[in-house]
Amino acid sequence: MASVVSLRMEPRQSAPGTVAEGLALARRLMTRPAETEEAPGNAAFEARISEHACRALKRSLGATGFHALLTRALAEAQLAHPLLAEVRIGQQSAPILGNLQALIDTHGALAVAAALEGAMASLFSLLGRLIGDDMVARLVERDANDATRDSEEAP
Amino acid sequence: MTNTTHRGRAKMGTTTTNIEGLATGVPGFDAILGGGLPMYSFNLIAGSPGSGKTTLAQQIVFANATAERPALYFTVLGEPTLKMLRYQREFGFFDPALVGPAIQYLNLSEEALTNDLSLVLERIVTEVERAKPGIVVVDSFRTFIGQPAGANDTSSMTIEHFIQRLALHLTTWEVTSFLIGEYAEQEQRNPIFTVADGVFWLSQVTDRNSVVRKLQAMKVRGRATMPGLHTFRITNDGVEVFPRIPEQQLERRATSSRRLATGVPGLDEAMGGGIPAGDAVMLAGPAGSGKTTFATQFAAEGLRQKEAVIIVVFEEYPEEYIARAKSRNQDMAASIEAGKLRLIYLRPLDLSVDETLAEILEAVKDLGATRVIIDSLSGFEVALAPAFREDFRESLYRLVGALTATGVTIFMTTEIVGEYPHVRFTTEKVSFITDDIIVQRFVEFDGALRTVLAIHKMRGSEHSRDFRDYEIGANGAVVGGPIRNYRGIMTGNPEPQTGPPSSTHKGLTLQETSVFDVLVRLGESSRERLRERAGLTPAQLGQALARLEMLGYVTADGDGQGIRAIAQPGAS
Repeated sequence: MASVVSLRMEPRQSAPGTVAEGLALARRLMTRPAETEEAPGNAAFEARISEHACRALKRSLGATGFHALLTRALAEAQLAHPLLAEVRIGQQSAPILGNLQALIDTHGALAVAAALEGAMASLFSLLGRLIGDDMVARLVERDANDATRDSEEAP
Repeated sequence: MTNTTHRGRAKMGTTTTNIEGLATGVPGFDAILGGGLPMYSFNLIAGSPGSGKTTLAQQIVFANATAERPALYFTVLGEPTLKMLRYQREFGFFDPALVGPAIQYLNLSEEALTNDLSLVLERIVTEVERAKPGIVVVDSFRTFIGQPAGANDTSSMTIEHFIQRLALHLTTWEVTSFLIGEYAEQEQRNPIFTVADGVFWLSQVTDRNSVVRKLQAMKVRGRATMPGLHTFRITNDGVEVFPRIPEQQLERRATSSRRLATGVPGLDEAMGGGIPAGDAVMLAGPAGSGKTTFATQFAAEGLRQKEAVIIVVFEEYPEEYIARAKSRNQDMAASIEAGKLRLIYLRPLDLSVDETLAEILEAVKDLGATRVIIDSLSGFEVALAPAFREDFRESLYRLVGALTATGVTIFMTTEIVGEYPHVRFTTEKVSFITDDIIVQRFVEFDGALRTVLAIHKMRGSEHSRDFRDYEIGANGAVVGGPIRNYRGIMTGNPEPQTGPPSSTHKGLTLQETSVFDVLVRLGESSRERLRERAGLTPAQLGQALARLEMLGYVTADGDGQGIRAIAQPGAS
């Protein structure tokens, strides 16, 4: 059942400050084998992956630290993806990236998927500058699996 | 995990249990703990901010965590995880490859902010049951335990109950745990101190320009720990602890009757045949009296005898020391290259005696050294952090005890201040730790400044009681015979003694002087006759004649059998 979401209709833009390692990690996450059939550029899939990555980082870094990072990452990524200005950051146990469905309805799945990838690349780049790209990848890729499992197990 | 085993006796006394020790990966720490940390113990690392608590815990975690038995590192509200990772990864022990599979960082701040300890406990329990870790760290525990009274009113659990349940749960899951907290000494009635199996107190004291860090194992259940405050240093490699009482001191090597040649002509004779092997010798003298020259010759003689030598310098850079030795035909660089000599130059002004000792002991072990030169004790004392100068005497006592226990012979120099008979060593309070004391001084003889020395003390050994003059020439120091035709040497301004003049000559040893005196009386002599008249063995005569000839006192004919005194250049 697993499929690979890897096709890109057009080159995506990167936010200033986004480094190759951050972008590569974001793309690696977004193109990992999916559990369900999803079309290339599927915003729902990318939203789920982004949500898992964010949860993994929040678990390690704490809510306050992660919130500060995400806020700055979204602000930087907005330069390339203005629709990110409309993203609401959820509180407590709510989804970290709120109102994505509304954004998809307004801007289309491809644009939202690209924006999410840009936001994650910006987030990973920012974090990589602080603790090293190698450690970001380990925190996200390892813990994203745990977060995925946890969220799927949650009622 | 890497383990050491510590054998303990069960309480019933009929069976023996093994309490496995967790090797901490912190140099020196396991020695203090009596063989590592007891497995599955519940420990508290306490101390003031910046004392190194987090670094110590991280180092233990990185030394032990594996993918099979990972470590869970819970952060709470203190140092943000982001910053901790950013700074800790600068240390040599931090291996990013372990982050994720072997070390998982988890944040408890949301639970802590609820002020409900049952939620905190529940989260820790859930994560432990999920990951089945070997090590758990909560950093900083204080942020939710140390709240003022009333702050936990919303909690369904008291602090005492919380700590007990946490400790029990972690031990049941076979976890060695570390809680990190900022505590003041007056807070030791906190229930955590009672429940914890191990309590480690870290402190740092700032004294003038120096900072001294100390660690105390206040309590470790099931272990006979090394008592006292142990110095530690945080370098790029992490924490290194310098145990206060080195293990070597417990196993003192048997003394030997062997004597070591000093390498200073005439000095062995004054010392009854050289320095007894394994002794601690102190050479005290005023500035410029040649202490370092004597020390260097002692080192060079050891190297000549194929011994390994350690020289610890404080007052000059090693390059300068080597260059000066080279000017006296002693090629220290080659000996260093050959692994027979190590020159230790320690960072000045913030040293601890224990740190110095650790470095010397390591060098002694590495090289199998038999001679250690400390040049000088005065410089060593100045190089210490002010806090350690206060107990210099006690610390040096331990240093000398630990070094001599390894069997090495120690040659220390120190500076003298004041005038005879009120002469004082700058480190006089430590003279009791030495076996042998040689004192140098300047004396005026007939309007000229000369150098003399005397053996003040040699523990359990006969030695000369005479003042002897010595000279330092291009080839180093040479000690002459006893000065007999002067009195009042201790005043520094002696007067000629009435009576027949003695036969003391500058730069000659007692044997050389007696050979020369005989020759002067005979005018010319065969070797055999000279040997009989001087009462020496052929070897002793050969040695004395070789130096007398080199110094221009005698001349030998073509076949070397006829010897003649040619001058008395040094007669005094």
